[in-house]
Amino acid sequence: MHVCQLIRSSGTRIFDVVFMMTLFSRCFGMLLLILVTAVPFSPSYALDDLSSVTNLLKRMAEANRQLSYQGIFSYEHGGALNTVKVFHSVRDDQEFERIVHLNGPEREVIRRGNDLDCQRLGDAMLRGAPLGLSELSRGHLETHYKLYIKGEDRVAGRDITVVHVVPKDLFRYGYVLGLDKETGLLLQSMLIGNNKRVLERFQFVDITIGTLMDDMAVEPTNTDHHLASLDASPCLNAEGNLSSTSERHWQTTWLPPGFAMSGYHISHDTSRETLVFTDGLAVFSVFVDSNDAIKVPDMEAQRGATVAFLSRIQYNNSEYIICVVGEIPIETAKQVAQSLTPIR
Amino acid sequence: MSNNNQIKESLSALMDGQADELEVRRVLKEVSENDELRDTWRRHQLAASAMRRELPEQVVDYSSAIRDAIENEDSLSSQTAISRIVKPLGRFAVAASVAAIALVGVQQYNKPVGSLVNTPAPVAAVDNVQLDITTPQLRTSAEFGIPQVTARTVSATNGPDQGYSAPTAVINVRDVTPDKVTREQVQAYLNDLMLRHTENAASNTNQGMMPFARMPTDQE
Repeated sequence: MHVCQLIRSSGTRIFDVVFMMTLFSRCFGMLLLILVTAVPFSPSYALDDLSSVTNLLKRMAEANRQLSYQGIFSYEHGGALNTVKVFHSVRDDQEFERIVHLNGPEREVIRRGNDLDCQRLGDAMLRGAPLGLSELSRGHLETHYKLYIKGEDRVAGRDITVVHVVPKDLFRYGYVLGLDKETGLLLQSMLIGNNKRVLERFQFVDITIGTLMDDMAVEPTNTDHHLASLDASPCLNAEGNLSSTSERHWQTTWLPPGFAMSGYHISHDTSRETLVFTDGLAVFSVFVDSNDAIKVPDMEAQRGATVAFLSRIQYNNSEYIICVVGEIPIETAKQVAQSLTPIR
Repeated sequence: MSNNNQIKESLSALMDGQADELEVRRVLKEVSENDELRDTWRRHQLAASAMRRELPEQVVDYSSAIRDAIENEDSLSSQTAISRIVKPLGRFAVAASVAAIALVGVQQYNKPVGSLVNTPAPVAAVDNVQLDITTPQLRTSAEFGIPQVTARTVSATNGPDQGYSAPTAVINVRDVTPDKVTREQVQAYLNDLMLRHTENAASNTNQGMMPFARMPTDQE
């Protein structure tokens, strides 16, 4: 195996020149787009309709964390179908979760100690909770997405309400959400690309909600399990702000409208800085690696709905790898990656 | 002699018509300088012909005779004044046309971004959007796919690549400056980042553990 087998396109230098040439027109177009999206949103449908949709999403946000449930769901992307078993238990106001992949290589993930009181930016945006951050007030989601109730369906033997979440710009994807009528729990979720393609689909096949669970159900069964880290997902303080932002060394100079930083983390050996951004539904992570142990080439990668845009930059005589990963269009990831600058 | 092995891999890739442009160039360069490789190439071609039952009754190697003939030919050193001017011009024309092709290619590559920021029209049209979910067009594995593994030998084997293969990720490399990095290392690095991102997504999207279904496997 060698690098040449990976090459798809060469001619990067010419690309750079063209990029410089189109930079101006792009900036102008961007400005135009921001102006257009910034125009106050006037709903063309009844207000109570909108509020019932936002109530549904709010209820979903609460149900997904506060209910105990166990079940099997399928995850479909790019023609592949995976089946996954999930346990979610709430004890003493803390979440205990276990997820087991039922097909393919054995994979198991445990997450525990997630405090119910801990509110993160994504929660707050989805619930429309008032926040300290001025631009992220009530109705945040409706500014960037159109929300429709699209009727009813049945998933995992339960009645659901189908909600369409349509983005108002091309910086993000759309969603079709199937919410349990009785509890509000998310039972089906599809990510819709800009060409109206279904990029991935989660759907419960069978679920039991609200029954008491054996404590052992959320304990790992495989010694090789992965323990999920919450390091880059801090809770908001009482004012709705991220606590301390003093150690950060990198910042974005452009973000798709509606996105804000929901967390950051610096690895123990300080070689990796992670910034996490969300608009309430979509999340992307920005990784800045100063560790040049591995010489990764510039590239774009896609797996299901997840894209990665990776580029290297020089700063202070050191080389850094910047990688934007998320369920967002590759163009958005690219623009975020190119906007990253060190904080001086 | 890992370099030699690599070039042999490329050679068999070329045989299968799987080699990319850079590989072709490298193979041609190596073959012109390396007798052993030339032999390998000849043997591979012979074997392939034999398998297709296209082997002629008599196999004659003309290559060395042709090479000798070319070397012994009188060189065309008597250049006229015109040809001295025309020749560089011809080079320039070729170079210019290559550049033009490169520009066209790059502009096409750029198109999605350009259309994203320069056309605010879709923003206005979003009202009429009806999601086409009755016929979800999930992509098939054929549309995805990492570039095929080119290290195939001439003899046909029932390798794993002939059976069912799950759709894998697309990776487009834009730059190859760093040397000595294997595809496995790149994949492992990407998988690590995707796993870290999944943790962040699971904590911020209110979908609970669902994002962990996206978890990449080591094999991918």
